This record gives sequence, C-alpha cells and structure tokens, in this order.
Amino acid sequence: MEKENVTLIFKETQDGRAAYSLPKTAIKKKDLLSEYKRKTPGLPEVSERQIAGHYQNLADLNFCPYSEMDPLGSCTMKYNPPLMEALASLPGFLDMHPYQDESTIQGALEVMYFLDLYLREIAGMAQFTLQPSAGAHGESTGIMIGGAYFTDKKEKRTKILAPDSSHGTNPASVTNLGFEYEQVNSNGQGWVDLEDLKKRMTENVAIFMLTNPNTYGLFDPNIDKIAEIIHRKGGLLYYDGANLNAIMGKCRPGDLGFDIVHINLHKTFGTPHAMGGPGAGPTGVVEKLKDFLPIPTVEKHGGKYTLNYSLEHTIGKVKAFYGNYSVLTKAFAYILMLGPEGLRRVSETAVVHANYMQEKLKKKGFKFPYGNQHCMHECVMKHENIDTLGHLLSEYFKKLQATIHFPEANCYMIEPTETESKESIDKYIEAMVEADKAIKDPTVMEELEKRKTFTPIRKINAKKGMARPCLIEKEEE
Amino acid sequence: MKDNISYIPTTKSDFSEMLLEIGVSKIDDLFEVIPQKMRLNRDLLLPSPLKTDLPLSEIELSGYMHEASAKNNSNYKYFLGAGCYNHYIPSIVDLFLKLPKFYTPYTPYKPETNQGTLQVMYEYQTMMCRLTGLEVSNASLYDGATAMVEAAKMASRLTGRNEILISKSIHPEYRHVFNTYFRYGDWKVIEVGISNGKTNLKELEQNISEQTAAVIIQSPNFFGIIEDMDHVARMAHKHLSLYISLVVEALSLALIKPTDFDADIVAGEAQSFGSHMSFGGPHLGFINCYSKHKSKLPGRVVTKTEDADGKTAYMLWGAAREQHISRNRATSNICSNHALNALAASIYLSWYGNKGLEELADLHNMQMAHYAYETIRKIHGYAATFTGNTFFNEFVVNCPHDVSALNKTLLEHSIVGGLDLGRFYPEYKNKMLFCITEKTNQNDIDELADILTYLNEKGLK
Repeated sequence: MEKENVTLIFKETQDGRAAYSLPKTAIKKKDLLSEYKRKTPGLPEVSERQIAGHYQNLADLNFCPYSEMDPLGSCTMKYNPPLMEALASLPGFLDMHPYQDESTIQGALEVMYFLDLYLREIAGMAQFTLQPSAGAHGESTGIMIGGAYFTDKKEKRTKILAPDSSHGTNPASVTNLGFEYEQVNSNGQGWVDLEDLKKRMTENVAIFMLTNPNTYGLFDPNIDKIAEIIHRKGGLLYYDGANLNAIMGKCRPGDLGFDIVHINLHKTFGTPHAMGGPGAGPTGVVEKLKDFLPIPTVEKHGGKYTLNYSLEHTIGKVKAFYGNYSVLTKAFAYILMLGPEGLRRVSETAVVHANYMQEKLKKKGFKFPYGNQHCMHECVMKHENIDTLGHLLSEYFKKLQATIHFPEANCYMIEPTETESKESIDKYIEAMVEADKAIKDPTVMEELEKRKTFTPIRKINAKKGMARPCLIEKEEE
Repeated sequence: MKDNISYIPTTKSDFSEMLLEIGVSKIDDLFEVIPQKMRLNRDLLLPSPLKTDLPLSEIELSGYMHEASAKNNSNYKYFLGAGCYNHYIPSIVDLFLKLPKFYTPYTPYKPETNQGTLQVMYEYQTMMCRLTGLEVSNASLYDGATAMVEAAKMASRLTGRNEILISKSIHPEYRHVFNTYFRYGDWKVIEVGISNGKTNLKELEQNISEQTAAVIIQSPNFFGIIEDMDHVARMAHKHLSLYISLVVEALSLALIKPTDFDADIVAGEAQSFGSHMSFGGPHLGFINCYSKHKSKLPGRVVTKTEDADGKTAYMLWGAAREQHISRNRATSNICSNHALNALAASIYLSWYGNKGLEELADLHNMQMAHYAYETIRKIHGYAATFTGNTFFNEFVVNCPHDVSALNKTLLEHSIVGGLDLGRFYPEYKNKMLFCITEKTNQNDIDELADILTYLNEKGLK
C-alpha cells in the first residue's frame, strides 16, 4: 500500500496560527523574569484542525492489536477492554491530587486496598506494593527488598543469579543496583540446569531470579528442587511475573516456593501497552519480607482506608507518590469483571491456544526445538530465515511479527493469548505457511513481491539509522 | 444466559477441536507438568468489595466504579501543587490518547509496523530539546523521581565518579526515592542544606570536589523558587562535575531555558504537559542531554533514517545501551516506559504553541501566583517568608494557624489548600506552599483570601 509520509508537525507551522484558548484576565503584568528571558522554543504553531489531522494520520501508520492478532511472545498482548479505560477515566479517579486529605480519597484507596488483596491471593504472597511503574521497576524493587533483608540479617551477599534465557531486564536490574550478576545455564530441555545451579548457589548469593513458565514457554517441573537449592543456602527466590498469564488459578508462585514476585499488570491483567507504557509492576513478598516494602502501604482501620508510612524496615520509596494509579484501576476492574473462575479460564485458554499453534505449526513442518513437550502460554519456533519470515508476514500479510531472536538466536516466540479466536489463530498460521513457502521457493517469492504491501515503509535501513543518528529535527533558521 | 467468560472468544466446540489437534483429552492434561503438591486445587478467593460475588457484569462493575469514584471528591479549587500540578488538559489530548492505534500497540521494536509511534516520539524528543536547549531526549521514563536517579547514574558513568550532591530544596519524595536507590552499590550522596528557601551555595561549595560526579538542583525548587543556576553551574564545572538541572514543573521551561545557565543534563517531570494528576501517576519522566553524552543516556531514543527505498522513516536508536541487547551491561533496566504520556505532551505542546505556552506560563501561572502572593501576605496574620527570591507558580507563606487544621476547614469550602510544609520539613511548621495554575483565576484567589481573612478573625473550629 502506497502511503505518504506524514509531514513533521514543525513543518506545518504558519505564523498567526494557534490552537490554544485561554481566558482573558485583568491581571496587571509585572516584569518578573527579565534576567531569564529565553529564546522562543520553536514549538509548532498550528491550528487545532491540523493537530487532529496530524495525529490521526500518524495513528494510521501503526499496526493495531485491535485489528490484528499481536502474538508478541513474552509480552501478553491481549485485548484491552474499553470498559476499563472508561472507568479509569472517571473524574473521581483521574483528577485527584495525591496529597489530598485522606477523607477525600477513600474510593481511590479502596481500589488499591482490594487490588493488593487480589494480587496476594493470585500470587500466594503476604503483601504487595503497588508503587513500581513497570516489570523492570518491580525487579529493582524486589532486589532492593532482598538486599535490605540480608543487610538486616547482617549477611553479606553480593551476587544475584538468573538463567541464561532470562529477560534482559533481570541482569540489567541486578547490575544497576550494584550487585554482581551470574548466569545459570539451561539444560537441553529448556529447564534450569540443576547441577549448574547447585554449583553457583553459594552463601554469597542473595537471589535467584526466575520466570516460570520460563522464556521457552515451558513450565520448569523441577521448581520444588530449585526452591530447595536456593532456600537451603539461605537465598531468596524471585518470580519474574512476565509469564503469569499461564498459571492463574492453576498454581501460585508463593506455593511454588517463590519469596518475591512482580506482576506486569499491562500483560496479565489486560491494561494497554500504550506504545511502551505506562504499565505497572506491583511487587509482592512473603511474610518475612513484609516490613521491607516501600511506603506507604494502604490499610483499613474501622471502615476507613489510610496510608501507612510507618514500616519498620522499609526500603523507602521507588517512585514519587503511590504508583501508576490509573493503570491500577484498570487492572482492578479487570479482576472484578473476570472473578476466580474467569481468571483460571484465562490461563487455561491461553495455554490451549499456544499448544494448538505449536501442534498445528509442527504438522506444517515448522521446527520447535522444545516441541516434544506441551508448552504453556507461548511456544518457541526456530527458523533459519526468521528475519525474512517476520518481515514478509507484516509486509504482505498484514500480520504483526512475534518476538524474534529470543530466547535464542533464530527463535520466533509466539504468544496468541486467550483473547484471540481460533479463526484468527488459523489465519496467522496460514500466513506463516505462505511466507515460509516464499522463503523456500524463489518463484513464489517473486509472485509475493508483486502483491500490494501493507506496511507504510519498506524494510528499514537500520545500518544507516544506527551509524548516523538524527535524534531531533534541527530548527530552521 | 451466556456461558463464555468475558473477553474469551473460544467456544466449547473450538476447545474440542483444539484439544483434538493437540492430542490431549482435557485441558488439565496440559498442566500436568506442575508438580501435584504445588497445584491450586480450589478456586481463588477473591472477596467482592460489594454484596454481589465476582464476577460482575459490565453494568454492575460500572455502577460500583462510579460509586467508588464518587467517594473521591475532585470537585475542588486546588491551591496544591508540590510536584503534581492541576493544569487544564485540552480535550483533543484525551481524545487522541484513547485511539486504539496509540493506546494498544507495544514498544516500537519493529519499525515497519510502528511508524506512527516512532514519529510521535521523534517529534516529542524535538519539542523537549527545543524547550531545554539540549540535543538529545529519551522517549520518556516513569516519573521525575526515577529520572533523577537515572540522570545521576548517567553522570557517574560519564565522569567515572561516584559522589552525587543533591539539594534539600529538591522535592522531598524525589530525595526519598533517590536515597532508596543509592543505598545499593558504592555511592556517596551528600545533601546540601537550604538558606532562605534556596540551596545554600556556601555549603555546596564546601562539599563539591574532584570526586563529585554531579550536582543536582531543582529549579524552580520545591518552594517554587528559581535557584541561582549559573552559580551552581560554575561551581560544578570548576571541578569537571556535571550540573543536572531538575525540572519538576515543566511549564517553567516556557520562560526559563536551563541551558542558558549552562546545565549539562536536564531531567525531571513533564506531567504538566497534558497528563492528569491521576492521584500521582502515571506521569512523564524525561532526561535531555548533549549529543556527546548520548551513549550513556537511559531509555528509548528514536532516530530519523530511511527505508530500503530511501523514503524517510523512523526507528529506535542505540539498542546497545538497552537491557534487551546488553543485559547486565545496559545503561538502565528500563523496558516499559511512559510513551502515552509523551504523546500527551506532544499534542499539548502543539496545541499551545510558542505564544500560547508563554501566555499560559507567564500570565496565568507566574503573574497570577504573584497576585495571589501579594493578596495573601497582606491578610492579617499571614506573612511573607523566603523573601527576595523569584518564584514561578508556587510560593510559601507563614500561616497563623496549624496548617493541617486550616486545610481541613478549607475543605468545607471546597478548597484544597496548599501543602503543609511541616509534613516534609519539621523546621518549616506553619508554612504553607501555595500553587496557582490557570485553573485558579483572580476570583478564586480573592475568594480564598476572603475565607482566610474570615477564619483568621473567627479562628478555626
């Protein structure tokens, strides 16, 4: 499809145009800032009509998970119900100041109080903090809690372990907080290599970070043995909740032996990804770590909700105020809408969908290195020409590409989620089969390349982009 | 009655077909890998906040949420800022944030299918840099407090030093967050005291040294006062330290450009540009820097480039800085960011333009705040404090009452009064931090003054 580039909004500027509208005021202007007089910043000067056109045209360049299945493995791109957005946008939630008197924010605190209760039950933890803004932020919070716990016990532990297949945020969180990162090997089945873990798990290790199901989409059945290895040496087991969508109501991280858990509300609980965020990464802990949570926590006394700032061993604060409140509201509403049975069915359906894709693709000749096992909510395919496959899917089949080159090179990690229909899954599989045929047969490729393209641009010139960055538009003099 | 679960389209016959394809007889066969003793063999216990058990229907949920939101009263005149500002948000901002094509997509890893997002970010970066005077902007962080943490770590990587000086005139919650993070690793954080509402420059000079990676000063500071930025910059640069200018009320950028005062890095919070107060989040963290420092900048950054046909196109730049490529060597662990808030800022800034933003910042915030200051300080019992400084849209006055008791009484008049400074600075008991925005006009200020006068005569209950 031929699409014009959208003109940069700065180039639409015309002197004398403006969209804004402000009241008249009788205030007498004083010269307050003469010494600070700045040069005009070069913002666009456009009409409101132009703004509407500009952003609508930009939006149209995006592929949208509302129109296409977005099987981005590890990211849980499920359907985001408009209801949650409508409810979170009620003025009583959206226009409140965080320092308002407690008597005027009881509804907001009620939402936070119940969300904490729900997450505790779902994860099998003793208490949550709702402050972290994202999964990685939850990881930082969890690591700081673990660190404070060992400092309090006067134990010097400087290392944190995670599997080689972990999300990149795990090792980045570790080193950015001054801990030493050590990688634990996976065995040939995609599980943690227990012998390697035993070797590395010393009394100098504070935490082992793990996601289960792991990034191969597999549930590691040795989780009881893993927990024992970690706990025997006095360490803590951290649950990266990125893949929680597979196990809600089936098992709980707390019952699997985890001590700290973060949950990505923007994955499992259906809040939108919004081009990268805001999300929310509430972090839960077991009983012995409760006192280390960030402040404030929300409590209920005599029918009144209050913010509690006095936790004996609190690590402090990880964000100003209380968290990404409107994201919390959406997740809370989602849980109320689904209830216990609904959440279990979410996970069951997500797992059935992923296994269906894996089996069907296997039968079509695609290779699944770990496909001798049932997967959980996502499956990992391997393909020699994965970049081309992903690109063809978008360009000629209007499909969103799944996660590529993760957890290993040439992998294609597919997560259909529970909100896609069987028909849309089947269509995605068909597109994969056709794209694969084109890769294998030059005449099919030639035919394909005659078709209309769906992406507004052809393949990006990444080499040029990386080597010659142009990160802002220079002002025209 | 329907028997499927909301948002799940899969029917009974779909399930049968899929299980057949998979080769299992029932769903639970797929979960057998979970050790028996660790399975949850009961329903989750999720207590309902109302009398109806979960799940709720859309009608019930909507009814309940309307009730819960009505328990929050937001129908006030706000004279409260302190890091979260009650600015008017143009309707066009909220409308475009809800477009599914902006609202639902993932981080734009694949440029070909995310050109809209990428161009929005490129334009956002440009607008922020034109406001701060710098050359590179990331495409958002969580909030101002975490941006301050990231900026300090960035400065440490650039200088190879591990000592950070922060002023006590920085937002107390930001310092709280900062001190929380910097307990981990080999750091030295020195807090510099306050003198007459501003950073004590003598104390700053005594503490700055060849070990100092960065000096972080908020301006306008927590009390709304514009700091002596050029002095701070000169001191920092004398020791080859970086000067990080922290901006929490981003609207001040319309009038004050931090690079005019030699800031090396500008970090902070841009909630004022189109994000709702939203009970404290999500807001919009940002860091801007010079091009020579960009390899240490955390967060997503978008570059303009071309596609295979030479057509202008946009993509993420510098993935080597980021966690998904560099893992333990990444400049930050940030993955999810606040892209939607950055979109809000772009639309907001386009709507106001240069003239509008200046009029908003000058006339409806700064000038109006000075009108309020002159009005309130003249009320019997109230007194000016931290005098001789220049402030933006927040100011401090001494009150004749206990501030929290005064605020409780003001609530009865549907007014949210200023912040009780004693909450964060015990030495500033009986001082109130007022904030004036375009949502509080001259009449509102006069009305507040009348009530304060009345309460001073009659006394609080």
